[in-house]
Amino acid sequence: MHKLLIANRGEIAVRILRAARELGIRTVAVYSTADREAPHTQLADEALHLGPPEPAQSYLDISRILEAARACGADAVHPGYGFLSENAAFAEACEEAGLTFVGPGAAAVRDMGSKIVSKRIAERAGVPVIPSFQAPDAAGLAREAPAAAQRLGYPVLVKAAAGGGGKGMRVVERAEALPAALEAGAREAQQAFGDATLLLEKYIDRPRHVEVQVLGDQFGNRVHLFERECSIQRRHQKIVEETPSPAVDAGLRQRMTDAALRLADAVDYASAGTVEFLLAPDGAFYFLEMNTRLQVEHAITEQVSGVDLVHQQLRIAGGEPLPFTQAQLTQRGHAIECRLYAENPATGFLPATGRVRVLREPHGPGCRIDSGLAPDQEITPYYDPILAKLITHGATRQEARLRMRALLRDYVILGLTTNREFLLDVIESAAFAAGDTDTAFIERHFAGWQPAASVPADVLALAALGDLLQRENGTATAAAGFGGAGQTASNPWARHDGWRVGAPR
Amino acid sequence: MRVTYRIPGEDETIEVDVTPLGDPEAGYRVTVRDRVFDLSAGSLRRAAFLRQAGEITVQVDGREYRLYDGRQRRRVSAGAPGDLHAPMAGRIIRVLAEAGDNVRVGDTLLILEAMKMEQQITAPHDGTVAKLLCEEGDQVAAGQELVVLQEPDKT
Repeated sequence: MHKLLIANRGEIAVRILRAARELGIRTVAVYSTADREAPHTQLADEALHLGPPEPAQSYLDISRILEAARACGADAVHPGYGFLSENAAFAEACEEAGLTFVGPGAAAVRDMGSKIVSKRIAERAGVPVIPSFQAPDAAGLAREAPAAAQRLGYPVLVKAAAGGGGKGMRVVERAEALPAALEAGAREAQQAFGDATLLLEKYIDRPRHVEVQVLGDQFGNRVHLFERECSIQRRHQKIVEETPSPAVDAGLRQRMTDAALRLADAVDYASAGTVEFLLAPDGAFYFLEMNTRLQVEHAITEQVSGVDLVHQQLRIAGGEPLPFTQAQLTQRGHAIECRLYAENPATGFLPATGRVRVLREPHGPGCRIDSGLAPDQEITPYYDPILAKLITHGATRQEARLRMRALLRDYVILGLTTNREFLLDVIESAAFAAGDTDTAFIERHFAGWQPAASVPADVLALAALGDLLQRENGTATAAAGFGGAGQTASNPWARHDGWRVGAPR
Repeated sequence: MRVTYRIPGEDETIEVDVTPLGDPEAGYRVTVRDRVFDLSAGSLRRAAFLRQAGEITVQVDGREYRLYDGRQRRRVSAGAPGDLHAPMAGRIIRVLAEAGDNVRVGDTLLILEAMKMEQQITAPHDGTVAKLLCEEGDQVAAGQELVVLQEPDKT
């Protein structure tokens, strides 16, 4: 592998191109018109324009991406997460074009990408699954869904058959709400995955979301890299993840990781992948889906296992065997990730757009920031609202939690609305400190959340002084502060190195 | 120097006086109502500050505060879900109402999409659609008015 095209954007594109560079592989970014100035575009060795901002004409356009790969002479493609990462047709098209697809083969992507097929394979491999219903076509679904939902028993879950990440997913409490949920779910599924097929599933109450990271090479060697708990979700999308799970003991870990490896073996899995489970309060667990790609939350596994998952993905795709055995892998300490999103938690987590005016990404022991941000960057409405991932590692859960609290306090991003303060409240909450989490955590503890409205006198005093000094200097020097000089929009150099963790003064 | 701020949700403006204590090294005396703070430029090291279009954002100890320049008119804020203003920037993916339609409270009039998330714009009250200010496929800004909805005639 000499030249890698990264078919993605934002923090994950930056993460991957950094890993590739570490391994001495040349990097090619692709970008839409909206991302002309984005860090991933500027950090790669080469950058090729794909098309207009709309994903369908840029990051989801298979022919344009393959054309870009041909034009620059890339020999491999990393799809990241989202976009085309779980699109079997894309994996196949890469293979046909003679490009190494950094992921499992197209067959595994296709089999695990279908909720029906993946469940069938899981059942056959002795992995427990949740009862569900899927019709052969849309008309059949509309006709049979009411009876099927009745059989499964309300509440039921409407999900996109091709999906992940909560897109197109809805909990339906009663029969009257089913038709509207099917319509909206189909539309979202079509938009996000290009496939409107839906399925119904029995809804399990107060579950935790626990997943197992697996890694396999092309010689049939497979290991797991333990579990991650990702119960804290809004709109069925994870915002806080940790490993180990506070709910998983050695016995349960053994059973869950065994099940995950049985499934990986069944599809001859050869890359990094994740087997997701719902963990019921009684300790029973059910297979949800397998993600045949790098996960957003892969970094916490890297922190506790010491394994660089992107390096491994690239090495495996290049035909190298796994350099370690299961017995050599251990969990060291505890890691937590918070996803920083451009969204407003006070209005039901509606996406927010705007320009990053002040950015300060602190650093310190046990702190890692995977960011795709630069000062002065415009956050557009076209893509997923993820801005950066804040990751902390500690000897204990408490140490990792306290580091996360400090990191969220010291992280500065001004100019648009983000969920930073909301995440801080989650990390500081008694329920999170106690490890008492399940997938309804946000609804239970943070419904109707609002940021503090009143402004203390000492804050007003600081604001007035900042205001005065800014007017005098004509710059945002007041943004300087804790952890080093502020990266501000007025600094032309900031654009080039602003993505780095804790840019030097 | 005297600056005047308006705090969201509060009607009265607050006046803050900032007086340099000689040269810049000596710092500043800041008076907020009856409280006095002696601050140096270095005091701001524990804060982050942004001013844009009359809106001031200050981050202190991890908490973010928002205030407005008291001399400027109150900014029109983006509406809450249910308003007929766009609650977020995005694209109109469906228009379900027509001018002249009589609608009931809760009826979905439009569907707005941003960052792969849909938001329904519903009628906040019974009424008649007087004007549609957007079309399917339009890119709209947060706070932009989308529909004019008239109250039903009370005759």
